[in-house]
Amino acid sequence: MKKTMLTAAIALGLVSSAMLSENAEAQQNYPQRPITMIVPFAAGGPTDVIARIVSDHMSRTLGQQIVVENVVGAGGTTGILRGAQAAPDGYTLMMGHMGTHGAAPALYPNLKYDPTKDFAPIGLAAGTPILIVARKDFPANDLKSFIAYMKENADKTNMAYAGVGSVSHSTGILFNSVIGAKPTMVAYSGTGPALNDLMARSVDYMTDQIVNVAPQIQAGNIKAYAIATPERSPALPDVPTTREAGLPEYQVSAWNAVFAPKGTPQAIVDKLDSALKQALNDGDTRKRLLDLGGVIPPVAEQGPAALQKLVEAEVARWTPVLKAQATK
Amino acid sequence: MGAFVDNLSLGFAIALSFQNLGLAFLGCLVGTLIGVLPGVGPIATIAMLLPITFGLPPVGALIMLAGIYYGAQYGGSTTAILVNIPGEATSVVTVLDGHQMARQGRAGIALGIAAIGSFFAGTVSTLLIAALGAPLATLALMFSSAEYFSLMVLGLVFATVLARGSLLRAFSMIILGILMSTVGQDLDTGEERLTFGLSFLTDGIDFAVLAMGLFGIAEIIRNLEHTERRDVVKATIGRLLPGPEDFRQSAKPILRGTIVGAVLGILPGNGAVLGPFASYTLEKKLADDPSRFGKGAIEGVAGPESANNAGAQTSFIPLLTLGIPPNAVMALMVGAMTIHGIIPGPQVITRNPDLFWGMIASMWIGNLMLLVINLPLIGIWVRLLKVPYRLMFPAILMFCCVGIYSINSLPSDVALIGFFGLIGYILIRLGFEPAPLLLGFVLGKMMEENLRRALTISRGDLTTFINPWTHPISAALLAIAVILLLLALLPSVKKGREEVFVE
Amino acid sequence: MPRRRIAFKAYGLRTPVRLRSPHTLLAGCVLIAIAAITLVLVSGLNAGQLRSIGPGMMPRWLAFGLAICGIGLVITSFLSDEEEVGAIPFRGSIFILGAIFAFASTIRPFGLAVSGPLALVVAGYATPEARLRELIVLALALTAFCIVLFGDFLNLPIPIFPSQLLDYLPEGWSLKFAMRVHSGLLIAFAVAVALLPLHREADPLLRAVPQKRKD
Repeated sequence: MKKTMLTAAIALGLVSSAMLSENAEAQQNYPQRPITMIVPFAAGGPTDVIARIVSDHMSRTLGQQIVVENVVGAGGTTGILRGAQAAPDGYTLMMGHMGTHGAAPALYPNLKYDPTKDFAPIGLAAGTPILIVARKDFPANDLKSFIAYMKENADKTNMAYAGVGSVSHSTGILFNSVIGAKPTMVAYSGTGPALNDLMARSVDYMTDQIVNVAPQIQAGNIKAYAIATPERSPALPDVPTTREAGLPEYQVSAWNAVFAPKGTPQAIVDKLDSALKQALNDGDTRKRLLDLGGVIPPVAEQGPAALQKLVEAEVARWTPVLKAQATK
Repeated sequence: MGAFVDNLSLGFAIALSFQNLGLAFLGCLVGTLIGVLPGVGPIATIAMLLPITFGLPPVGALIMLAGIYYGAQYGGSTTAILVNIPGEATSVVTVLDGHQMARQGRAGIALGIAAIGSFFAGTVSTLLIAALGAPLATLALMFSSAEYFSLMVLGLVFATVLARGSLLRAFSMIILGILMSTVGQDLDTGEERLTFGLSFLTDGIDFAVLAMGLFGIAEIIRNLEHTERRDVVKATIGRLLPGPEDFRQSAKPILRGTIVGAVLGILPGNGAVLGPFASYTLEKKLADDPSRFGKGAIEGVAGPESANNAGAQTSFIPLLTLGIPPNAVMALMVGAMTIHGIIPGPQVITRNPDLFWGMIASMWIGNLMLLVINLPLIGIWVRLLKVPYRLMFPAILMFCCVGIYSINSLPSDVALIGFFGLIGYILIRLGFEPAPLLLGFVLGKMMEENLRRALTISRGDLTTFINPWTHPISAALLAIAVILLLLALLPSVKKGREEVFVE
Repeated sequence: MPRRRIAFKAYGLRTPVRLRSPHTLLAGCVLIAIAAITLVLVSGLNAGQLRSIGPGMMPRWLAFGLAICGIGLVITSFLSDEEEVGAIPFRGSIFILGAIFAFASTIRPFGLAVSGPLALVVAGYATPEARLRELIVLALALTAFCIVLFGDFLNLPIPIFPSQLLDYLPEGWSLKFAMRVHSGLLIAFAVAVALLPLHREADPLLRAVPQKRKD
């Protein structure tokens, strides 16, 4: 009996020390198997595309495949929640964005995660600028006359958005509150149908990401009033910035960033941070992101610390605006 | 005309390159194999296989994805015919007569006619796209919320024609289907409706889960009622492939189905889903003996399958010409194009002509490949049916579970197919039919969304739907719906009350 | 869902109102019950007005429609006869549903290698014709097929092995290699079980064809 217990104790000791050292070793040798990146939106959308482009390069740097898993639902919060609750071992990452980590606390009162506390931020990936677009024959040809028109006729205009929790929703509400207008909000089940109606002239205007609207603007099917970033986009050189057009207060970019669950060891965070930075520096990756119309964050805005600051600032920005619009 | 031929030659030159041919073949094959998996439709298949295409050049990648799309569609039809499980909304109609044909030992004929009809439809649609792509796209722009609503209403009237039994039961199933489509978050306000507080219901009920439960599982439970019954689905009796008589009967339905499907597929907002239903209704109305429908009428497979494929092809039009994806599958294609550096939009034709015409040419090649791949497979499928049912159904069940789980990785999805299976079985025993329910479910969401949107835009004015000055198309569609409904009800009223509600 | 079984027996009574098909009556009652439950569940939702329809409007109207259909069916049940239908396969339903829930609960923690065969064998017993040996052979072979096709070839995000076991993979074994090895083992087992001569009289395979081998 004693012999058995002794053997058991030694075995236990060996196994536990093996596991402990394995833990430290696991961090050293990270990653040892494929990593999952949860994208909380449907495949093919802007966030998904950015995630795939970035993770493609990161896979090569890290030496292990990053597999994108689309977990759709509830404006992106379902996927983010799943990522937040995953084991913090570096094998589950998430691509969050302005909606899931900025607007979500205001839009979803029962949100089960806190964007500022439940994550180990890795870094910004890319942002997609927001444009203000309207139907081709809308009675205003630049931003100033648009705002003037809205002051008189807001109740007769219809603004499209791609459903609660979407980028076009949050940025649209912000836009309306900045210009002080209260149009009728018309919901769509996605950007595709919204754009379709905008082109068919059934609905009046919308604020959405450049990826979605650029082709239609270039083809002349809809018109753009301004882009809400400090500089014009090379994809649409004729569209003035909001600053130039007279509305500097409206600066929005739908940023996308990589997160890991809270408690991920620092060694792993550092590795991921470095891999992400390398991806953003790589010529081919940059080209693909820029072709999309994406904006690559400058070095000062990359990395975990900057991302944490951004998340806190965004939550602070969106909460009052969206809560004010809580009753339709 | 000269330009047309030039463009097509350019397209074929690209599509017939060795690499692209191989990719098209691979796509069709893989798509078919996965599409056969019960419950896995084209969307799930493409999403799963999208990463495989990353290393490929853009044209090749898109050709392969398109191949996966048609392959998955046809695989879904195969499952619908063989095991009564519709993988996608468009396969629901195929289940009705296709599976009945399989039970009568005519599975090979059903599968063969579906393949051939699809090929014909694909050829015609490809020509349509090549010749009329851009003008057809403008048709899409004439449709707005009011028109879509009326189209959905028309679709629901089709659903009553789908019913084999009493109209009252069909109505109630349609209504129940629409009710089930409201489960989940409201589009406008984000409030949860009918979710019982369950988190997995927040995004509503998944079509695949509902279809699998109602059709697949319920059918298995039903088959276990009569344990004396040996082989539920008979092996081949007589011909393996369609014969001259079958072709004769199917020729016109295929033609009509192609036209119906092609037109409806162009409409953004998933108009393509109505194609098979419209075709089925048309065939049933035009048939000499409508009572054959629902019992294995070959027209009920030939027409809808052609409509299905025609719609699948023409749904590329809004994508390639306007850059607007008309349904979820095309949205994935948008993503695929974007990842490969091609921004879909109206300039794709001029900026990337090799992509545009190469894809169109490869559409036809893909259809041809499907025929080549699937016709021999029919022999294998039919032989598979000889397996005794006591071994077949556990295997089907396992594939169902695996298939459903692979879509969203949610165990709750799997549990739900059991739940819906039970519900489906209870409904069948009470004399109801699941097909109208499923159609109501599919159309219900679109109908409600467009109804609310149209009324929001018109500020509560109900006459917007029938106003011939602002929405002539909507008025016309509603008029057709009313006429069809009257036509459906009239004979019943004439026959007298007793017979109206009898099975 | 409250379902009332109304056992109406018309003992040849010539009453003016006679229940001719309890079947339809039940169907009608089920519909009315669903309608009632729906109305209760959405009572908290705002129905809004026509110009801005709220989330509650559609469900409410649909529930009314359903109730009307239910009433219609109830009325019909007094007007026309219907054939009675057969028995209810309790055994079938329980095993099928059991198999599905077994799969759902074991797939995440244990992977396809466990839940696949489990579900298949449990489901197989839904019919009294079940034969354990056949089911095991089928389960092992099909699981091997699924692992190779979906896990290996197509890379689908389905867990194959129990997550605890993943840490004990020998050095240098990639996940795919482990899948192939496992599938090989499964096939080997399947063949062994199929060829295994059993000594028990109870095995119907042996009794029926003692000399033939099932392969």
